Amino acid sequence: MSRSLIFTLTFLVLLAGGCASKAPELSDTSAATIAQTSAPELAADSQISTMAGVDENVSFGSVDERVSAIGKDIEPVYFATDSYRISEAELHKIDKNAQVFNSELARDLSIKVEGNCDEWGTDEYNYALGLKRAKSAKDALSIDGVDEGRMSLVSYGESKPVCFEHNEACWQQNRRVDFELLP
Amino acid sequence: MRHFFLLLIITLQLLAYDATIEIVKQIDKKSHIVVADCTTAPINAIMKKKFLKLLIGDLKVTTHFNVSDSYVTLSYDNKDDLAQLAKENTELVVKTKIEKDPTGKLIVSAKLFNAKNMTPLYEKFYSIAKAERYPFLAHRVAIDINDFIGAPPVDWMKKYVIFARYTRPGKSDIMVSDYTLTFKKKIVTGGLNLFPKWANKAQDAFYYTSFNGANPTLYRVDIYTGVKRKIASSPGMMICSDVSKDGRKLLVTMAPNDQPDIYLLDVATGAKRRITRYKGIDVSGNFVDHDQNIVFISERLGYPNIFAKPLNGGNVEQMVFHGKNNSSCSTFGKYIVYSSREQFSSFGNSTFNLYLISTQTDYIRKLTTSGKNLFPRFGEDGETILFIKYIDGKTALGVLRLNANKSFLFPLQAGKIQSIDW
Repeated sequence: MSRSLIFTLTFLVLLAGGCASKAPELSDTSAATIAQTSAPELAADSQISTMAGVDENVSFGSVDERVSAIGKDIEPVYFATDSYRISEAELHKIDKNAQVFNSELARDLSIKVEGNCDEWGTDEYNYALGLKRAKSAKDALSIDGVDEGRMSLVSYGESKPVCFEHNEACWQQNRRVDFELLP
Repeated sequence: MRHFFLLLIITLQLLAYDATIEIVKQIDKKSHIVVADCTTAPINAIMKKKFLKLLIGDLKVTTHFNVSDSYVTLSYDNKDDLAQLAKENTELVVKTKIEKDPTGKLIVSAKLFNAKNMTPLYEKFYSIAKAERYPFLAHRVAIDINDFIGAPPVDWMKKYVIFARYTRPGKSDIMVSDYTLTFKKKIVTGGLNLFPKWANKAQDAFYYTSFNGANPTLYRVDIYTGVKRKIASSPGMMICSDVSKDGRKLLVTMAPNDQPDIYLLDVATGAKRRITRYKGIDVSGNFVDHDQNIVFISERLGYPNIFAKPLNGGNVEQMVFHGKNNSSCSTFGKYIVYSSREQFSSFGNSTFNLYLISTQTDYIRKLTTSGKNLFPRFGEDGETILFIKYIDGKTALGVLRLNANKSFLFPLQAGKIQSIDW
């Protein structure tokens, strides 16, 4: 190999090394670029965390539609005869309803807690029993973190039956507390 | 001296005897009476038939007559046509004639005869501007016949009954009627309106609770002008339970803090004073003892029962020591009538029976024996009790005559009676 060739090759190596030495400078930019390039990939991974945005994409034409949609997730709470104590078996419904009431969609709504009774009795006592049932439900929801100030109570006594037969299964359905969401 | 004291003690014991204990067994001294149809004018036949049936029914409800059910036609002006009835042991005959005057006013002429000697005893004329209110003419005829024979008065027959009627879930009307429910008129409609209560003896105004707003609201309505005035409102509950004798104060059940309690409300000023403070249920206050005390329902013993307390301080006293579910009552003087739930079973029907007690003695008298008898209300005579009876899925107005120990039922054909007052 001639000397000139060796010199040329050496020069080229040095030149490449010099270029390479510039790489770090470029690499700062590149790193930033890489970082920026990587970010969308991370964002793609974290789309799960932005699933909340999926809710935001659900829009309701009106408050009434929102109330109606949320209402489907709310369950009535049932009571034993002459009682306004919430049984262990019914407490899970309070917990579930509390989650619904405190959800993003429902947080700005107020809650009407409606006490009801079966057909046995028609006097003031029956209405008071309905009110105490509503109160028990309100207190239990409050313990589950629902703001008391959002809740109002009313008793409808035996005036709003959902079942009209004259048997225990039907009376049980009527001894209940309903929840109505209001704008 | 010993004999004197013994005699004194025995006499005092007799004076303490409670009238509610006495079972009245008496020889049947009731007059046998026939109601005769003497109408010749072209009157609506159905109305005429109903009028006659009502008058016969009214005379039976007085419990002071043996009333014939037979349909009899006689001549109003002929007094010689009673011979046949006299032979059949009829003692009294009331000839009735219905006409309409040129203005459309309905007129009833009633002539009472002693059938035995065919002597006219008296003649009276009754008129009413609106023909649909003919039941009140029949009631007045019966009241006057009853008064004539000197029997205890039955003036309550001419009073209006006011009641709330459920028409469908969450909906009710308030109606005014006669005690037989023959005449009925809707006074309040639209939404849920309950617990009507007459504002005074004249029955020209009443209170009721509307559930149609944000909170239950108590209104007063003039039945002649229709003018409605808001009295008070409360979250949870707002019911007028009783009105003082002078009409100036109300006992109301309210729940301003989600807690049902009894309050005394001044109608003129709107001022309210809390009367009960138990943390459970206190409802249905009734004025007693010249409006100085109240009788009310409370579950402070773990079940609804009847208690009394002074309006101005003082202790709560248990009034009823029978039954485990006494949730409705009415008072008259020293007597309390209440509805007691019995024979309760989770898998079977309960019954609600009416009981009468005296606050002065231990005696208790059972007034009904079966079915669902609720919401008793004493009449102004203290001898008649109005109540709600459930029969075969329907409701009826019940009239219980204490002295005769008899009940009469008047079914409501449409809807379900929720509460009553008279």
